Amino acid sequence: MAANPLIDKVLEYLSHTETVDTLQLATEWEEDHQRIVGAVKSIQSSGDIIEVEQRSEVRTELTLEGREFVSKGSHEAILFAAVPSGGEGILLPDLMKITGPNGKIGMSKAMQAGWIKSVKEGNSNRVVRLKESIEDKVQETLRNVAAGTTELDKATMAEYKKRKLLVQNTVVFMVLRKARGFTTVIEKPETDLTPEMIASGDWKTKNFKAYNFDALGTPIPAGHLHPLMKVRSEFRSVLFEMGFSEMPTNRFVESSFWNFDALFVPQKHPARDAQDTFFVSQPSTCNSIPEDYMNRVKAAHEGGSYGSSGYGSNWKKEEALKNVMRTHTTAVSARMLYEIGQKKEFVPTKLFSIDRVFRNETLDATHLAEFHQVEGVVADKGINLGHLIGIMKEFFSRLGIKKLRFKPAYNPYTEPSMEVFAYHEGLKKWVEVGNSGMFRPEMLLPMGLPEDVRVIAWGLSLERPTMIRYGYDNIRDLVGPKVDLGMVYKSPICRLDKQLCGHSFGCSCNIQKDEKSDASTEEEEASLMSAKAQVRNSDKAKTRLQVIANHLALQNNKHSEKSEEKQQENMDNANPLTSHILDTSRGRPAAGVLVKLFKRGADGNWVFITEQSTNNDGRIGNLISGAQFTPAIYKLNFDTKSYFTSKGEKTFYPFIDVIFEIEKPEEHYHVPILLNAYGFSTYRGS
Amino acid sequence: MPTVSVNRDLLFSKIGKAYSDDEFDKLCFQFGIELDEVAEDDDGVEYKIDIPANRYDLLCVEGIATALAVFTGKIEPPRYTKLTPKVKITTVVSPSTQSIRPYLVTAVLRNVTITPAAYKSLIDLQEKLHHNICRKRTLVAIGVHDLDKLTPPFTYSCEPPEQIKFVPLNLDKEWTNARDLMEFYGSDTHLKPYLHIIKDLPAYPVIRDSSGIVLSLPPIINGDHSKVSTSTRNIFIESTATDLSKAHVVLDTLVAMLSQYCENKGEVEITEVVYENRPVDICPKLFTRNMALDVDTVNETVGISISAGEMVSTLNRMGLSSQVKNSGQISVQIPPTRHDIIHTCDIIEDVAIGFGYENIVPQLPPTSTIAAQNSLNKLSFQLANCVAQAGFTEGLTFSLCSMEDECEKLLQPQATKEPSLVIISNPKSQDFQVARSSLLPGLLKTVQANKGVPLPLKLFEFSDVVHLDSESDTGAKNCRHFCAIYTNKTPGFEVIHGLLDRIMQLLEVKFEDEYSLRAAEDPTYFHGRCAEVIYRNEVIGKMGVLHPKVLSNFGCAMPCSAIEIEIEPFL
Repeated sequence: MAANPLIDKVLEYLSHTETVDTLQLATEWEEDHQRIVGAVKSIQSSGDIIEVEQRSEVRTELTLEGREFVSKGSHEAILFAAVPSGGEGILLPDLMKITGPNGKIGMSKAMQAGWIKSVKEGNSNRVVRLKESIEDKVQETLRNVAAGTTELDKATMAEYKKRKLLVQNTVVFMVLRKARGFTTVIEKPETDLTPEMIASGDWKTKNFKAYNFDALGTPIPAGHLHPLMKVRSEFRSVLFEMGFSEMPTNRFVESSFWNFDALFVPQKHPARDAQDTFFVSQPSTCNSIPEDYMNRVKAAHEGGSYGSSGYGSNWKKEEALKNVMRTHTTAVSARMLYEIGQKKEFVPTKLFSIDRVFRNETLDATHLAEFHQVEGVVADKGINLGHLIGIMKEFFSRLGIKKLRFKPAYNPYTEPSMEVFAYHEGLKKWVEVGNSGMFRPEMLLPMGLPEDVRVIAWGLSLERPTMIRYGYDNIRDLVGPKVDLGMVYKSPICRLDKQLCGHSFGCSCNIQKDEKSDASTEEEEASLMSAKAQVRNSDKAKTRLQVIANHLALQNNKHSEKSEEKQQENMDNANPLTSHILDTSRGRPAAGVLVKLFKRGADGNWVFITEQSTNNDGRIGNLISGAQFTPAIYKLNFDTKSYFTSKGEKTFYPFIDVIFEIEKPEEHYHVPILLNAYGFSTYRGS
Repeated sequence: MPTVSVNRDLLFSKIGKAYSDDEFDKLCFQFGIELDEVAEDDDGVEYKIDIPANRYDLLCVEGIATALAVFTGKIEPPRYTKLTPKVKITTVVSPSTQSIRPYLVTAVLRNVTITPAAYKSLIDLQEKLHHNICRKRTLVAIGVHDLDKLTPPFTYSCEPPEQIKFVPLNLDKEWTNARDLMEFYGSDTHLKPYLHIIKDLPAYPVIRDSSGIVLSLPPIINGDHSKVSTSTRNIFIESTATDLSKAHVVLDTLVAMLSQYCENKGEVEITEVVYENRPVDICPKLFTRNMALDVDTVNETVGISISAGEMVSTLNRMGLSSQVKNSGQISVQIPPTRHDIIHTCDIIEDVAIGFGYENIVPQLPPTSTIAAQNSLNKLSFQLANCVAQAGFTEGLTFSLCSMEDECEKLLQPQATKEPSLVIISNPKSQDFQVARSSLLPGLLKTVQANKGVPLPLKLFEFSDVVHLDSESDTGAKNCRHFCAIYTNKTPGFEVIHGLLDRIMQLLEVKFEDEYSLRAAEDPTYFHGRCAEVIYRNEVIGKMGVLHPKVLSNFGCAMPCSAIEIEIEPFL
């Protein structure tokens, strides 16, 4: 049955003997060792047929040059033979012509051995024999090494290694024995149950192939909700449970009046700068503001009313008419509170909204020009700062955030104001999660609300807790057209109250990558109450860049490169082919990347040689032994997709094949990759 | 939020107590400032402290140290004394300034000892004030001078730049035309941001002494002649402004800080500014205001219950000297450094801070309400769930996009499209030139950014677009849209069509009776492959196979079908 005749051959061989190792088979059958290993693996997968024990052995093998010594003699012997016997000898240039490129080495070795001498003659030298015949011991020894009939002493081994005549390699091979179920005939097991088997009853006698329960199942085709929208749904539920009604926030364009003036934000406040706020040029101004109310707002700003000294400068209607992309949903809260103020009788109210707000920002990993603001408002008589703290504790505990503290803060339309900090278990520090306060009388009284009505409110961004909860470090992967669909496909259901590890908010168990959460730790001050999603660039990001910069500098700096090479030297003698992968998007070596080496056979097919994963330094050494490394075309296959997938990223390159031709196997070849998800480069190093 | 860098040891010596970083962090947190960063340099440990944007009195090490020393009960709140000299130092303001930078305030400090640390602090404070309350010198600009090198009285006027000759601060030659100086400072990263304030004016503001020496060319640069050094004994401060009340705040803040270094701490000499059409202004103001506080109101607002006496001592720790007037009333003195206090609610906050936010007992509001969903959001969420169940994946794209996304890339002629769009006047990036009127470009960009994801891609989004609307007070209104796209080796129009049918089924809308398709032409769609979706005789959107040029414009290689309809008609 076996598609691979080697399988039968191995089983047949083993039926006549107790044990055999794969290297022995390779030598005996003059077969590529890796192909035999492949056959053994196939047999293993068919059941309990053979026992396999993996071993490794240090083998001494001749280099190409070493093999030439065996066949043609050492350089010094060849040179000696080229010197005519007798006192006549030969002129050095003539001798070099005969002996070719290895003449010089031969010359020095032969002189060391006392076989010849060189006499000055005019401008040149004449070489004459000192002995009539010599014994080529090097050739002899190497011949014995090749035949495996001699053990070299340390000094000779070192000398020959230095002369690059031989190398020592660790060879991994397998020792095979019969197992309990040994058979020379493998019956192909059935892969799965079929309707025919059920009908015929064949399933009773069939042998079924074992399932691999270590592998994952097939990904199920499915539709997905966006992770941020899932979090939004969860926040909505929490707020409904707490008795808050949803405000109609579908109004992105807002007048400065409702966005700022109604909230008692001074007309000269920096938030009203073109730097921070998107102004609208079409339609550039709003066409109506309730006249009476506007006059009361003006009075509040200019001072002398509502128990306030105001801001002491003229309030201008033109400023208030300017349209903006709303900078916070508090503009809508103001409209709602104004409506309540217009009613004959005050009705206690709890309101919330979760919707988009806009800031004139330049986009980066932690800043967007638009984000979602979560806002809650309670208006009632007799409520106080203790109620605000109480409601914050209740709200945040439902988000899985239990450890809170409150910092006095400033905000133009709340007084007192509090910033809300939560203890981040992963970072072991307090991070800001929201902003809150009591709306100022100068904001509420002009709306017509009774004097004894107080309004408490809080705000936070939706993106920030989402990033912390799920460990996302680039906000652009989460929101916007560059969203990573792979991430959307994988995102879990939103269970804010349930930290899977059973720990608390921001616990490092949620952080998939060691530095992930860092980017989302620090919050930039919002000039207004709405908490800003935006987070400061992490220092780690800087460090990352520095590492890349350092690495690039290294490549341009011969001196450093040399010292780097030196460290590698020991490794390289035994490893004529090495590779190294640097992930330039991180400035880190890419560890654990599976690299396969193939060699192109005479028939043009790729013959698999070995596979290995890069070590923690992104290096890979033991790819091929000096003996196997013959002039040919080789291919290194890098499994880049698995690497990026493991980092939670996607890549344009599922794998990378680097194909190269080796003409001089005695040299060392270093084939590194500089890699990122959307680009790579490679070069020949040595 | 401004950040102030202070030397730790200097700060602690001024507070009169040394803290560990953690202790100090905690103290800051209680007080409402934030120890943002601890750095170490050659001069020792440096604290970077975040200050609330309205507390100008805390923008220097002197202010922070004083506030914290008072807060921890080490010292009494500082007092300031205004001295009236026999002859007040006078500055005459020329009418020529009135259309350019009409206000000036001045002050004099005598017998000052400027240590190197104080000098640095003064420079830093000016910088912070310029950046914050002075709104990058547009509202107020400060000049501090060595009074002994000048001959009062002073004049403040606007003169043609070519008449202004002086040696600017820290330059070694005289400039004979102030306009050339503007050119010169064009390459000065520090001063460049301020040049626009006067550069193109026909006349520049200038302050001179009685012998014609230029004190400053506000709001750009002082003269070198009167520059302050550690050997300066008497100081003249001037601030030119377009906002007089802010100028007084700035002057009070500077004077309060610098008067710490006077021989008699807190002593300030008053000066006068003479205008042609305005009353003489005596400054600095350094007003101490009195406000009355009702003890019950404070307790009710904060949610605590403390006596009038306790409230007074709490206020004193916040730097507000207070007294119990009668059982229920407290009289609070607001020092000239606390311009942030404009209402009793600001004092109430100080009581809460002094009491300690952590000591307030949390409680849930008694407010009983019945919650309701917003109907449009509810419908969108329900439909989004159903579309996801149909195998589509939700995108989340930006509400702002470029004009190109809306017009050129969708093959919509800009001339007809642009007048219907909401346009942003000041975007920092081309990506945010307009508020989108369609969800389609966002989803196409999502496809473009996810080329490695196995086909087919099935994406959808429920979100708002923005249209002009003369009915609305702002002239614009949001409109809830649904958009879905399908991309694969074949366009899959039938998939998108099937999705529409499914949505209609879920909405209990009957084919033919209530909704139908009608062949249409639209430049965004491939010829003959576009239909209008009609619901109860109204066109609510379009669907079809996207035009190959549209696909190339968005870098999509595979055919693609799309639908975009309005949701509000189904409410």
